[in-house]
Amino acid sequence: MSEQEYYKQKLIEKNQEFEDFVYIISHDVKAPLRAISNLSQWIEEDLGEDVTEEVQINLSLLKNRVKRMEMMMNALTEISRIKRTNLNIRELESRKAIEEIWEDLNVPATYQLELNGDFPAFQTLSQKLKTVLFHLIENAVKFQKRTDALVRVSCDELKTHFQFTVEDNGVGIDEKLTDKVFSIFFTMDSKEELNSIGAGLTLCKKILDFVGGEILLYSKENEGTKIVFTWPKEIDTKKNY
Amino acid sequence: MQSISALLIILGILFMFLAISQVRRLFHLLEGKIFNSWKVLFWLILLFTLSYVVALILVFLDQTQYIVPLVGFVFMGGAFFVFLVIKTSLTSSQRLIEINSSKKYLDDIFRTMGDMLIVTDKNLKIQTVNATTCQRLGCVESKLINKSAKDVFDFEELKPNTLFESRFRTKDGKGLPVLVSVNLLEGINGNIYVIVAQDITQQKENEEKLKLYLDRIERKNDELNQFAYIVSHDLKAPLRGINSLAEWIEEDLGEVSDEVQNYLRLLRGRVLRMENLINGILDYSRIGRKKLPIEEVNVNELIHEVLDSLSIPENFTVKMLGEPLTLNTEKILLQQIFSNLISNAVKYHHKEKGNIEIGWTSENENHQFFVADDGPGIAPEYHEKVFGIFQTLEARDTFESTGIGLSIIKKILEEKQQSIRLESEVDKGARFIFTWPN
Repeated sequence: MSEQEYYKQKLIEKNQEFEDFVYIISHDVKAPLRAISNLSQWIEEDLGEDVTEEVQINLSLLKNRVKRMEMMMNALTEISRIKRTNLNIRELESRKAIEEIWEDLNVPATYQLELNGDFPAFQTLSQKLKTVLFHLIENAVKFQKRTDALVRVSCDELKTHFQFTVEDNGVGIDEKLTDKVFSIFFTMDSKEELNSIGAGLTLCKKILDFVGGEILLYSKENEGTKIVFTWPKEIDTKKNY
Repeated sequence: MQSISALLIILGILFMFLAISQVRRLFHLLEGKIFNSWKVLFWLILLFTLSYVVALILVFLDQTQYIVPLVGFVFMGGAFFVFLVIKTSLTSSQRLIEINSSKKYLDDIFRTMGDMLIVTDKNLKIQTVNATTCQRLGCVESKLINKSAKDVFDFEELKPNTLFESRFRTKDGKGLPVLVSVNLLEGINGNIYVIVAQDITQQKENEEKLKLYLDRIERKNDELNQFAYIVSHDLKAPLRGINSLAEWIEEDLGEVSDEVQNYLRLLRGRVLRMENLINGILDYSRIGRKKLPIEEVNVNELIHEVLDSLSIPENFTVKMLGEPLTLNTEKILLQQIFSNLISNAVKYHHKEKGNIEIGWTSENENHQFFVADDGPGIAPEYHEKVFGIFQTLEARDTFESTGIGLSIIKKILEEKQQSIRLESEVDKGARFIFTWPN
């Protein structure tokens, strides 16, 4: 085997190791977690109404922690399955998809969505693109303090890719932290918060790595956030990225 | 009549002297068979010259009756001379043809060789280039002759019998990576440099690709380690929270039903198991990330420390086989390996009494350590799998085993470019053998 072949093989093995690792963590840690969740449920049921407020609070906190860990595990599972699920190439009308996401997010009436540019309708891994758009728009809406929240989604056509931009006028991120945002479990919210596990952007980045696109984030504290990502016009699912 | 004769003979002698001087010039150029032929001819010429002089003297002395035998002698000598000259000419012509075909042979090689050939004088002025050179540089021969070699490619100085990488300056400006070999020869008019350049574009590209792969592998490795670290780190916090909360709930509740007590106990048990698991993942991710201290390690002492810390049960006998050995190495790593292997040997034993053997041998480059037991053994089809992360052969419930131990050992050894192998069969115990650098 030539040297090149050998290292190519090693790279494939390394990639596989990573996936196996993520899968195993999410899978093997889930079992005891499920057990803990069930047990805490049964304890609560068995104790009934006759417990002090303190115990009640602690029980609820415990359930909260467990739920959070479960959500973390689910996020890891989703990340580990990127290469194995939702691999169907289907027609996607991106404008319509974005509008549907906006509706599903059920935002306050004062929030606005602006769409700029030509949004393509094309054959692609539509489920995955929808996932990416969902998480980005969800973040834009979540990290928002203003009532006149504005989320602007635009699209440009490049030679081999479509370039999507999701901008918001939300709370933004300290410039010093912008390169950490794609790390797993990194979130600006407190770790008590069940709403953000900090896996959304990680998932987006991993999906884009898989399909052959790129993602960049620009932000300043209190000056909103802009995320730009490219999605290939044609996807070769056989290539091992 | 006599004076005309004398004049003619004198002219003859003049021509002979000219011939002699030419022959001497010829001698400088000739060698071998032809040289010898001409030596003979030279003596003949001398002899003739002598006879001409004698003839002249006879003419002056008016003893022309002796000229007749002399003339006979000169005629015979002359014919012999002509014969020798033609024979020598023939040999010369043959030599010439040989040389020409040799020259054509070399010319053909020169013209058709795939590498680039440049010949320069001792001042690096180009005298000859072959067709491949012109083609690769993208210009005609006339443009290159008399240019300096420095105009064609980069070098500090041309040292004879050297091999080095350089770049040819092509007409299109792109440049051509080459492997250059230089030789210094003695030419007709002074020293010449013979430069042969090989196109190494493909090799350079392969080098680049290789670097890219290595880079990506390293980055993937870093990513994996970082990921494992973050995940395990971020999972520990809520876990600790759960543990504390369960403790407080238990304390606050005081008297509770057996069932609830059982649930609480199970819950905290699971929390502990999760913690072990996550710590195992953390350990796995740390290998290769931190620089560990290197110390002097007495292997015997180390193993005794490990045995003590593991609290080996009394029904086990441990034998140590190996010459006293002291290494300068990362003690922690060696300790982890022995700890894992020995604790496995104890944990999975199925009989009343157990025997464990630990030993080593030393080679030139590395040491071979082994840990062997007489436990249930592992079937050959699982020998590879046992080193996989989270692999256990029994259900995890049975043995409180996270299944990370062996994969950690494997990773430690891989980082140090060492290896581990397993010799085992069902019911025949197990022997783990690993190498460690000197």
